[in-house]
Amino acid sequence: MQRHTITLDHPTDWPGFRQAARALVQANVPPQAVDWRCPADAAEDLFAPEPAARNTLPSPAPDAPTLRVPPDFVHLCEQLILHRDPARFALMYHLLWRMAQGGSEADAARHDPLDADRILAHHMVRAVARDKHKMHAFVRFRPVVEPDGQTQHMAWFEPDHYITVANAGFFIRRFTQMRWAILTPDASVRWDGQQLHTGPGAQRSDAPPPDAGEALWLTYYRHIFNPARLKLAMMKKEMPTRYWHNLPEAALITELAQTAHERSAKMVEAEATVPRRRIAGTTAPRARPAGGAPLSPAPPRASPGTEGPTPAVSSATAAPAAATGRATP
Amino acid sequence: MREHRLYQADWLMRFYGFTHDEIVPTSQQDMLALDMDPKLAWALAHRERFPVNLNTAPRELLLRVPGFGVQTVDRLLAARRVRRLRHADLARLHVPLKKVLPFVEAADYRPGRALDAADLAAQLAPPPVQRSLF
Repeated sequence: MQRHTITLDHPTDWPGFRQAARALVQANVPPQAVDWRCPADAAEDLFAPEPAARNTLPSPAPDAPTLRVPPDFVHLCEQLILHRDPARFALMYHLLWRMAQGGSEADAARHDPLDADRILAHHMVRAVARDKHKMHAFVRFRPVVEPDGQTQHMAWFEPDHYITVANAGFFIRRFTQMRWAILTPDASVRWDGQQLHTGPGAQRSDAPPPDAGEALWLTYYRHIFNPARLKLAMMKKEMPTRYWHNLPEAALITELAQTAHERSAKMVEAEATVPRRRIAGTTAPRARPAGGAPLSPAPPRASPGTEGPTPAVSSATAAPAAATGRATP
Repeated sequence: MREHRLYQADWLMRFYGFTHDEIVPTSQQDMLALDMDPKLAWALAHRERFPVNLNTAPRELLLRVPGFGVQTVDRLLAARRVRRLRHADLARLHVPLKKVLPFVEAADYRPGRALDAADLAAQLAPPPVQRSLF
């Protein structure tokens, strides 16, 4: 049985795969006779042949019928090719080959939800979709001012699968007016306001270091972290720890989580604070109409012995005397 | 817990084709069982309807098997158009096998005398949880 070796241009070369698979199926080449290679995996493969200039695709067999596949199989393959597993090409070709056989094998490959190949393919596609979703959430841009005065926002990210170029559409729609670039070890994308440019993979040192605004973001994060509502298991489920080393705020989480219990205990034990009736620092108190009617709508209070609201106090010393009757709302 | 059982009973009527007099047994003063869900309670009270053959049963009867949800039943029906369902397929469907197996039969599996066990309810009901007093 003649073996065929197909080398694709890059790990997500969908048109190349499609052309090769079509030719192979029409030539009746079984899946076990094909080796699928792409440049990223060649480095780890002991049996990789010398890279040929062009793939030698077989000519179609004389009795080959036109193969029709369901459209959702095409969508499945477009997502499946983004996965990092080198066996994805063999899986896709195996499913395609089974659909071409006809009969019960084709029915199982097309329609059987419990088929082992289909289940594996759906697991891989779900992993790709999850990775894309996490990339939407965890890319952090840092602004860099270029020599011509314009700001470029640059981010470093390490996705699990080859999703960078496929995910660029989300960032284009979200940050259309900005100039940004996302660098990953596999590929990089850059948006200049008009057009998307794709490039080769980069290294972490190519991305800019933390900028001045990062301290503000960390301060903000520290202040909105609610210690009374900490659920670490849920947090790690939504924000897996493998993304933490590229998130600037993740460095604060350990310390904030450790002090959360005592902080929330202190919040429970602390004295109730008195709500101020007026913002401190304003100038003269406003004139009150006769009869003591409130100028601004005040919530009904159960304070005994007073009619209408008492005058606002802006000094802490006068507050306790007036507040003892209203310590608990 | 009562509210949870009421929601479960509502779900059974809306999506599983139960009628209200099937869910609420008159023997318990018209109260839902607290220790097990209403579907399992119905199945244990009507064991003569089981085991259900996965390859030949209609959808309405498949929906009554404890541990089978609507999505599971739809996947079963799609799968059995192209294959004969076996015991291994239940594992691939990710159903709670301990709850399901006494009530179904497949091409290579029969539950045997499992349904006749006197303590079947105790085996299948979830174990009681010690609540905290504090």
